[in-house]
Amino acid sequence: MSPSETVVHIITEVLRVDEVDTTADFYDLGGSSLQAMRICLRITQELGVEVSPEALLDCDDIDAFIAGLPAAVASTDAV
Amino acid sequence: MPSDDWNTALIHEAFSHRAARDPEAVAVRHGAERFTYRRLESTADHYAARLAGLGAGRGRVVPVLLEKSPTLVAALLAVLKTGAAYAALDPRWPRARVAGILDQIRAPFVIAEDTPDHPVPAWNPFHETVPAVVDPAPRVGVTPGEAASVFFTSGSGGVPKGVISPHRGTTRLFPGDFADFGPGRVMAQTSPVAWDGFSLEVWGMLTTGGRCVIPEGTYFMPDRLRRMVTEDGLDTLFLTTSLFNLFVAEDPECFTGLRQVLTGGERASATAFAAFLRTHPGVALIHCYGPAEATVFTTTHRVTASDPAHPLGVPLGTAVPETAVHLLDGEICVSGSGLGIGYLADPELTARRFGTVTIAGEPVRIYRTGDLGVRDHSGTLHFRGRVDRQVKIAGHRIEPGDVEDAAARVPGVEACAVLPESDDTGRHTGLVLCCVIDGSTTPAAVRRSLADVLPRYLVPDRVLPVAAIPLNPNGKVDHVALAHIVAATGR
Repeated sequence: MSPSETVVHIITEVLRVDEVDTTADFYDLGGSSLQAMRICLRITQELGVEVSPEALLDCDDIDAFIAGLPAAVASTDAV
Repeated sequence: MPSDDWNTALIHEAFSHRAARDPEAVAVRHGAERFTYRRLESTADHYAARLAGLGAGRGRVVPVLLEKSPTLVAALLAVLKTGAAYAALDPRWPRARVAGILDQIRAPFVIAEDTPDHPVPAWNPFHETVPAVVDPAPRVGVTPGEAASVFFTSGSGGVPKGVISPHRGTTRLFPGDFADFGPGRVMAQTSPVAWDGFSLEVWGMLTTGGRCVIPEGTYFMPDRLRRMVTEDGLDTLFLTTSLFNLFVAEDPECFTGLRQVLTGGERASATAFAAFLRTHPGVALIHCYGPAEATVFTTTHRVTASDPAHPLGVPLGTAVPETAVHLLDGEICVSGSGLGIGYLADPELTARRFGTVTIAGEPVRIYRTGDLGVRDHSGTLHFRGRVDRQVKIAGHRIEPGDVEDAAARVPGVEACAVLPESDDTGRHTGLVLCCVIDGSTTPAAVRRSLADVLPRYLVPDRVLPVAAIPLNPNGKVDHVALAHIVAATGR
């Protein structure tokens, strides 16, 4: 699983949905601030990068959130 | 300077008492900023003179709209030194909500950074240069039963309710032995400024000689906790139930190094308590219960290994100092010096929730919590549910009826009912709106319409279209049948 796939998988798991439309914003996906914290905690644990819940709560869409993650995660997306 | 005759039942005088004892101790740390007790005292004294000049004084409420910082704490102390009460408002709240509160307070000015669009003039403490020597603020004749602060809790329809709390409400707590407060203790400040938890964290430390550390960033995460344990020697933490459960589930080791952890605010998770005790047998875990209307805590309980399996649920515990719990028809009612003076600008609601009853032949002023309780054989209190449908999610009090009222006004919604969703421990995690809709709208559009009129925490997490809302023989919504329909939709 690529890092960006891992992020999408974590979001899917925490929001308890079958799939995530990455062109939707976190709020449209039904996310709460507590779920944003849980997602960021899991991203930190699985990918070793620190992410602030603000970045997820304020992003225009999930694609933009992933693109804004520390380079180690966001750039390998293209590989 | 008088160092021995401070009235320690007043928040600001209890602080001055500690400042006189150990002026060079660090009182508040935030990022690179460290304020000693001496610096906090002189800053507050300087601000107090300015605020008094602007009309702050006994009987007034001064709104404070500042980001968390040592300057915020100095401004709050300064308000108290003038004899006024403060209402700490969150600068992140929507402008309309802040404007509504300023209107309720009828404030002639607000303590805030310069923003041109406040409905009232702003006084900005960051423009002040505090001189090296400041005259102590004159002592005012305010008494411990008078207002010190206004806490905001979620009120009807998402409009916040302001609870006016007296000095004694806060200062009564800290002779208590439910947790260790005092010199050497270092506590994190994680509660929102408008909540009563802020009083626990800030005044709990600053009136007893401890230190308060304000984390950077809006969201307090386990990595920040670890950093504060390492950098500040943090040893004391309060987390709301939701955050506690999250931290325990995702990163249980993060509490390492702490001496005491206090948690409460929602129905406790026995699973989370059991997991915490397994990982940190040496850390004192204190389960706390209490509505803001009775200031911070009403009862506390030191959690032991056998508690998570208690058939009545994790105990709420026994009353804190100067506080008594009465079970009236099963409802938890509170009396004592922690009781709020009432709700800001709402005498009708004040009369409904606060009242005087006769107990053992004596008139007693009580606050009716709306929570149901029971005492076990040892006299310890346990939570048994609500007298109404109120639920608490992520620290917010939610009346499902408020959401239903708003949903019923959305075009295309013919009938609706709101149910809380729970996790496997029975704790509420979100709201489901079940509704009968006609062909003119969709569930997503209904949710979007609600997001335009309701604060975020009241917007249902999902909207479930149903063929009909089940009713019981009395014509009322059958919540049990509805819960079965919701459960059958999975998730």
